[in-house]
Amino acid sequence: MPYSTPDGYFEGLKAGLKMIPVREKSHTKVLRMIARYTAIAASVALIFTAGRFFAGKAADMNELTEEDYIVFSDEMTNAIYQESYTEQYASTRQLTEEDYIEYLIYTGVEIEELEQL
Amino acid sequence: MIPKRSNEPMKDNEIIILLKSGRLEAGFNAIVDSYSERLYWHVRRFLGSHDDTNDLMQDIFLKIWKGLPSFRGDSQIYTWVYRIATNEALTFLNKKGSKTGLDVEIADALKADRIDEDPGFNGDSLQRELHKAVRSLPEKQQLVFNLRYFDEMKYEDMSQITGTSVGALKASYHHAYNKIKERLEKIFIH
Repeated sequence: MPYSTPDGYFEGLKAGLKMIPVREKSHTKVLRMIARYTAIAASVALIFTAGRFFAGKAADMNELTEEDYIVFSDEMTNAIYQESYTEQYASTRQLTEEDYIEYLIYTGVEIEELEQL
Repeated sequence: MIPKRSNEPMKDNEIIILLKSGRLEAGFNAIVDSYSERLYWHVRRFLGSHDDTNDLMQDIFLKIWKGLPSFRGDSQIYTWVYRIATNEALTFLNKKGSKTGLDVEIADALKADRIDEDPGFNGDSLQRELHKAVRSLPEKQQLVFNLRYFDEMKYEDMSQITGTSVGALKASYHHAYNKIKERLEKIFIH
C-alpha cells in the first residue's frame, strides 16, 4: 500500500478498539446509575410536591377569613333552622286531634272530661 | 473448544461460535484482530487522510460492537463488517461534501489532487497517478474498483456489502477500469 501510517499504529489501534466494550459497559453503567438516581429524585420530588399540596390545602382550611366565618355561620344557621323547622313541621303534621284524644284516653283521662275540654 | 493461537487471527466461523455462545467481548476482540487493519486500508483508500480514517475507525468498531448482540450469523462477518465500514465511509464523505457545497465533479477532482499534499502517501509516480485516477471516480465506481482491484473481493460478496446486483457491479467496475486506463494512458503514453 502506498500510504504510510505512524510507527506501531496498528498495535495501538487494536488496543484502543478493544477498549470500546469496556468503555461502553462503564458508560451503560453510568447511564443506569443516572437513570436510577433520576427516578429516586423524581419520586422524592413527587412526594414532596404532593406533601406541600395537601399541607397547603389543610393550611387553607385553617386560615379562614371573617367572610368565611360569616358565610359558614349563615349556612350553619340556615341548616339548623331548616332542621328545627322540618322537625316542628313534621311533628305538627303528624299529630292530629285524634292522636291527642287517643293519647289522653291512654293516659287515663275520662271521656266525660274530654268532652268538657 | 477453540484452539488458542498466539498471532494468527481467528476465522469467521470461529468468531461466530464465540458470538453464538454469548462471548461478545471475546468475539469483538477477535474481529478487531482479524479486520481492523483491512478495514483501515479500505477506509483510507476512500478518505485519503490518516486522521479522518483513524477517527472513523472508532465509529465503525463502535457500530460493530453495538450490532453484535443482533448479529445472527446469517451473513458472513467479512461482508457484515465491510458493509458497516463502507456505509460509514460514504456517510462521512457525503457529510464532508455537503459541508464544502462544491459541485460533485469538482469535489472529486480536488480529492484526487489531495494525494499530492498527503504526507502519508509514499508510492511512486505510477501509483500516485493510479490512486489519483481512482479518487477522481464517482463514489460508487470508486467503491467497486477499490473492493475488486485492491481487496480482490468476489462480486457476490460485494453485492452483499453494497446491496447492488452482480451485473450492475460488473458494469461499474468496467466503467471505472476504462476511465482509469484512459487517464493513465494520457499521462504515460503520449
